[in-house]
Amino acid sequence: MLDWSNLGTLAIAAVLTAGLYATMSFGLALVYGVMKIINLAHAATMMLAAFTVLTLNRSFGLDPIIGSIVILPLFFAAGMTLYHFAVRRVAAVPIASLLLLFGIWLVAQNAAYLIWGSEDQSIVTAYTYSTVDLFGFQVAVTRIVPFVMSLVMLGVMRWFLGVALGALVLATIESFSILIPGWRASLVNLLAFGLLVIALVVLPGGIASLIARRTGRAVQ
Amino acid sequence: MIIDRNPYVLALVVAGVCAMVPVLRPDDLTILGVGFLTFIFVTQAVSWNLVGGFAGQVSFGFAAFFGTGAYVTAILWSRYGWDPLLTLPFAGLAAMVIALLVGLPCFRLSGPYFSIATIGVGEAARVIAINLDNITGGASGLVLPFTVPEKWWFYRAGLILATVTFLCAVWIRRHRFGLALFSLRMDQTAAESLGVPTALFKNLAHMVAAFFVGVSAGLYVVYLSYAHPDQVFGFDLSIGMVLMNVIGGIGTLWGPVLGAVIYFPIRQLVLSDPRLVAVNLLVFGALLILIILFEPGGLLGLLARARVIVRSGLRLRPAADRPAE
Repeated sequence: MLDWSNLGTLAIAAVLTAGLYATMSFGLALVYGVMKIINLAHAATMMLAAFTVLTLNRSFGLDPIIGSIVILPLFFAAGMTLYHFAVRRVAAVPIASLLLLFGIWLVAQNAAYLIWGSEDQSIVTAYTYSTVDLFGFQVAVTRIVPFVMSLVMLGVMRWFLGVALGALVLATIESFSILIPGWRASLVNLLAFGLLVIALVVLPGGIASLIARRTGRAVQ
Repeated sequence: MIIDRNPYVLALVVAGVCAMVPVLRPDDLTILGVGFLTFIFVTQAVSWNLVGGFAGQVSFGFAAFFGTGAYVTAILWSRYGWDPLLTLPFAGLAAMVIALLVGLPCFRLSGPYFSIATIGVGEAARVIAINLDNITGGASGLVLPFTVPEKWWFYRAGLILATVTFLCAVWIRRHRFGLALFSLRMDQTAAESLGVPTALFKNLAHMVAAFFVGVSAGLYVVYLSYAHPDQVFGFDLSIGMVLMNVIGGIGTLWGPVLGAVIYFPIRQLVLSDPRLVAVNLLVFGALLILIILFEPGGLLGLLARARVIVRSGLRLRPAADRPAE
């Protein structure tokens, strides 16, 4: 039955999940804003990151939260490589880039099936089944961790875009031609694509500790 | 090239050659079965091309039309005892209605947004179908009567359907309607300013495509005597239609036909081996990436490029010297 305490738990759970979704969509919005590309491989990146964290955890016993930070550089590089060798070449044609990223999604998803199998898998840590008391409601730690990580990630991204790269990225959003001399549009795009991937990657670590039943199909 | 000059004649010649197969090999059930399913896929690919190729509106939601057509035939046939052949036009019409319902809101979105919306439509249709237990049989599917015609009958029916669909595509391509679709693909604003009713034409193309997909779906479930939401509304059907077109050459007349003829047998071969099931979409995904990166024109684009190389090679002089073709 839905009583007030259930409603409270539900509301807290909803807010915690929304934090995750906010960061997910931030990456998508960033790449669309800068490059006008809809990244259909967005979810595939998350899935790959989650399973990389899972593998690190199984092989080296690495905590998923630390694991998701460890793989940041790897996915940053992967994002830039993907952009440089593939996306950049078709970026001018909207449908072509959509189909290309769709192909990358297909490959990533099915490669994951081959490597990790199609069953749901989970990472079990010391805190997986623990809860904390929040305003009198019991909330699972595995829900709070991804939420906090999402907020941190959003903050870092905002800061990075606003302070470090902001003018450049904003300039590319406006027009390629008004770029600050000395900076090439492609470089900004490159960074943005890498950033997008980064924005996603911390999350799945949290998600992995949350449920980690992200099969290739689950995240879409 | 004759293919460009008279596709009607060539289509009828190809269809005539295909029609000889059941006469020459009436007992080879494998060829007849694979042939029939290939025609179903050709029909799907050619129909998809009307919207995705001619009008440039890449849709990932065509499974919704296939599933609708399949279930209309399945239900009219198994519950109301209609003759399966008689149900086919209604399967097509029902798919058309769904296409209109999907198209009216979705075509307000342009380019990639339309594509994303159609992914949602396709998946939503599948989930709805699974949950409408009393109509679709839900997750256990519908078992249909087993009194079906011989395999050669299906082969012929599939061939006729694929040929009619193709001829319709040729007609559209050569008609003002096709020209309008091409113009709105190139620049929708410019097309509108020249008086092309883009919303109407996009919906029309969508409905015509859905009709043929619906009819092919009806024929398909009669052949299988079984209908299941995951199968006839499956996302892989929608993916398949995109892949066949990209492989063959998106927006061309023969591209989807060529794509289907290549895609379907490879798919069957791979899916028949349980170890290779995951490899199936991996291979086609990789192929999609390579085609988009290196030859967006697909196989037909590759052929055209090869022809230019062969010709310029034979003439032994720089390509720039030749008059434009």
